Amino acid sequence: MKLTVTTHEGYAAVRPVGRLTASGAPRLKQEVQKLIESGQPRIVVDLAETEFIDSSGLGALIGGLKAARVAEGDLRLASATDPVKSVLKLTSLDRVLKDYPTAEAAFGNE
Amino acid sequence: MNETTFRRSLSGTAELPFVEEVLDALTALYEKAGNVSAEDRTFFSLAVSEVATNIVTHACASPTGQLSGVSVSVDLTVEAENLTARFVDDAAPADVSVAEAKLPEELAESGRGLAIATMALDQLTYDVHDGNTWKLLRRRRS
Repeated sequence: MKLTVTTHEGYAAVRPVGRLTASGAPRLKQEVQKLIESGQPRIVVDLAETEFIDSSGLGALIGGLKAARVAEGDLRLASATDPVKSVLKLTSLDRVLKDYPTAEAAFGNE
Repeated sequence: MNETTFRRSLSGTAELPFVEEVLDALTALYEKAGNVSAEDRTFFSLAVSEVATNIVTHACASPTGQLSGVSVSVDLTVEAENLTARFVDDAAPADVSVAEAKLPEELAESGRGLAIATMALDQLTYDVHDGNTWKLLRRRRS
């Protein structure tokens, strides 16, 4: 899995490319933590190129969500692919990890 | 639906790169078979990833695994009616109950693996006999 981090006005975007499994999940969690520590707790995980996710990846997203909320921010998803959407639905995590059509739309006008 | 069975076997040390190798092999097998639906691919790969990660995590935490590494092998098949996987490893028996696996509370960061695997499969069995054997079966939906 490759991971790119970009900062934008009002949020930062983390983009995992490939499979988000136990091999890459700790790196995602670290990047989210770094953003929060640097003062950016409004985070979008852009899943446009995340072809697959399992429970390790979900755990990293939940960990990031909790850490962002503690820092008075939030972690939101964008552009989830069909396989990722299926897994979120199967686990009912689509209720807590909200998916937006684009990274820009995730924090909208907030 | 044709009656051909597509098979692939792999073996290696129970470490995280093995999980990725298995997922790569499974993707290649779906491509070769050519007619596996997106839903079947996603859910079967998901279950395979969960079980493989569980094996690796258990192996890396065990004294044997830390000393000399645990060996693991897997046979993957794509059949006309079913998708199957059979993992065998030589780690100490794992303390798992497949039947009792259930999803943890929503905001838990771990503990979902086996519950997810059972949801994505029609059968998941775990046997301890000369190592650990996991058998996974998903009936193809379409």
